This record gives sequence, structure tokens and C-alpha cells, in this order.
Amino acid sequence: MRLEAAAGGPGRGCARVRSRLELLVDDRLDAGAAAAVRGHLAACPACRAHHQEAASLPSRLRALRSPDPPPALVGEVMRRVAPRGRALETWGLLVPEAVLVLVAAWYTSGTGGLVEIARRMASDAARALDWTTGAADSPAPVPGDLFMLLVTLLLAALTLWHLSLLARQSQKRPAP
Amino acid sequence: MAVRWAWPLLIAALVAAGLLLAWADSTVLRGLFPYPFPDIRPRGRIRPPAVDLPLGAAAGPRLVFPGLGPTGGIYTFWWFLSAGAGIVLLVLAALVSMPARARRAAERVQPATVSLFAAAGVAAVLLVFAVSELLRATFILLSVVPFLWAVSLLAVVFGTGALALALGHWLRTRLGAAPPLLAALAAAVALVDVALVPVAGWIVLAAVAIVGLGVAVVTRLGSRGGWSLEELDW
Repeated sequence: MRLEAAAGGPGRGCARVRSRLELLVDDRLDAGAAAAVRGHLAACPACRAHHQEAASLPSRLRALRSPDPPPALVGEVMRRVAPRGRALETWGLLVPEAVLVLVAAWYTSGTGGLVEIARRMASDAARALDWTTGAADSPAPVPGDLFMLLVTLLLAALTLWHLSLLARQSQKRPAP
Repeated sequence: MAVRWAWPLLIAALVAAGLLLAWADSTVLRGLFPYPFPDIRPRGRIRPPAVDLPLGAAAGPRLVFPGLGPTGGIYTFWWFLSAGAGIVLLVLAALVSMPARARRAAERVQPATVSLFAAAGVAAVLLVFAVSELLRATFILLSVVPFLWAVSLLAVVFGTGALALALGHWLRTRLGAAPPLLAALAAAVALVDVALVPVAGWIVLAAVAIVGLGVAVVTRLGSRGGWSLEELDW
């Protein structure tokens, strides 16, 4: 590598040497490049001053005293990283879900109607299983009920969305 | 690992409390349980065996608690006891069969996340109901409903196991070192004890089951990546 000493001011060679001063101080230059840089430093007082400054930087940094943290630092950091109260995000969607359940309950003449639906569901499911083994006749198809279908479809979609939001919210929380 | 004396003592005390609570349950709720044995002999000719005395006591005066009536029958007592033992065994079975998943799920259980799991549990219950009704309406997929419920039950058992493991972990920080399964056993027995509190205990059990379902759903049965689908991309 050909290095040119600066005559009247920093030339191109000086700029290249100065860009390598940190590497020289950290002893990360190969032997040839380091010798070239040192050769330039011997001839160039301005670059030598830069080198002295760079060489003394680690010791000067070490000599700096760490500032004392403010007493409230830990508390403030913990307050900021603590999971925020997300009650609305967590429970908010349960309101429309509960409304849908209430609508279904109203449509089926109260909670007794919902219980009756669950009972019939269990009975039909058991009968369907028996039917697959040949132990019973097939259950009768459920009469078409577009409104109830719509309500349950809406409820299923809403709860699925709610669960996806909760799963995402759970992943955002800091790991223990 | 040396088990400190506090652990056997705690579990013995919890089991004893469970026995007493099952006895109290059988006393209070005896009227709800039918007589389990059919009359195989004509009434009046031969006296049926006295099976309704607690703990097999064949003779002697029956205990009567003021306001609660006479002590319950052995059948109802046994019903509550075996139901509690069944819950404990199912919880331990979930931990033994899926230890890594249970641990990952239990690590997510913290005081700050319980409300999230509870909300997820309620939403999951509603989802199961809605999907069951939709499957029933399709008629063709009606046979899937029992499997859906079985999977939901499995999720409840797994989530309850994770909760028991988390509670056991907390107990280990208080009582000292112990095998994790032993700590989870203590936690599960404590849960059963609370569930056996007459009249109101089932509410706590239902709440724990709902939170457990939420734990299972949110952590996707304790899978490493949760609900992230990055594993599909390789």
C-alpha cells in the first residue's frame, strides 16, 4: 500500500491512514498494513496526533466515572415494562358474545331453551354414534332455523376472533 | 431429592380435609342422590341391607348436625370421594403424559395472566357451544360433536394440570424442594378440597376448569410456538 504523507494538509493518504487508526489501536490490522500505517505516522505529525488521541481513548473511557442512577430508575423501568391493564381488550369482546347468547336464550324461550338445545345436542350426538355402529336408527335432521344458525355462526366467528386476539396478547406479554 | 417433612404432612392434611368435606357433602346433598341398589327382594319380607350409614358403621346412633340433618349415606360419600380421586388422577395423568407441554403452559400462568386465561376460557366454552350447534345443524357432521367435546375435556384436564403444576411450583418456593409431581399432587388435592366444599365448591371447580381451558387454548396445549404458524415454513 502506498501512503503519502501530507505536505500542506491532510491528503488522501492521511484520510486512509486515519480511517485505519481504530483498527491499529485494536490490533486488528494485518502485519503489512500495520507497518504501512506506522510508517506514515512516523512521517506525519497530524496523523500521529490523531493516533495518540485514538490510542488513549480506551483508557480515558475507563477513567470516566459511571453516573449514579437516579433512585427511581429501577421502579420507573419496572413500571414501564410491567404488563398494562388490558381489561377492556381482554374482556371487552365478551359483551357482544354475551349479547348473542342472550339473544339465543330469548329466541329459545329462556335459559331452559338453551339447556334443552344442549340436551338434544347430546342426545342426537349419542344417537348418531349408535347409528354408526348399527345400534340405533339415524337421528332426525334438525329443522331448518335460519335465525339460530345465524346467531351461532356469528357467535362462533366472534369467539374465534376473540381467542385469536387473546393468543396474540398473550405472546406480547413478557416471558417469566 | 429429599422431601421435607412438610410435604407429607400437607398432603395428609389435605386428604383428611377432603374426606371430611366429602362426608359433609354426602350429608348435605344426600337427598339429590338416588338409592343406588335396586330392590331385588319384595319389600317387607326381608329387610334391605343398611348401606346408608357413614363409613360402614353398622350400628349405633346416627350423628345429626343441627341445621344439616343426619349424616349422609356411604354411597353419596363414596361418589364424592371417587369423583375427587378421579380429578386428581386425570390431572396427574395429563402431567405425566405431556410433561414438556405442561411445563411450558405452567410457566405462562402468572397472576397477571389469569384474567386473560379466564376470558379465553369463557370464549372457548361459547365457541364449543356454537360449533356444536352448527355441527348439529349440518346433520352430516353430527357425529363429530362427541369428539369435539372429548377434545374440549382433554383441554380442560390439560389446563387444570398446568394450573396444578404452577400452584405446585409456588408451593415449592414456600415449603422447600420436592418432586414436581408431588407438589402438583398437593395442589390438585387442594383443588379437589375446595371443589368439595358443600354447595359452593362446584363454582370454584367450574371456574378452575374454565381458566384451565383458557390456558390450554391460549398456549395451544403448551406448544413451543403457541399459535404462531412459523413452524409450517421451512
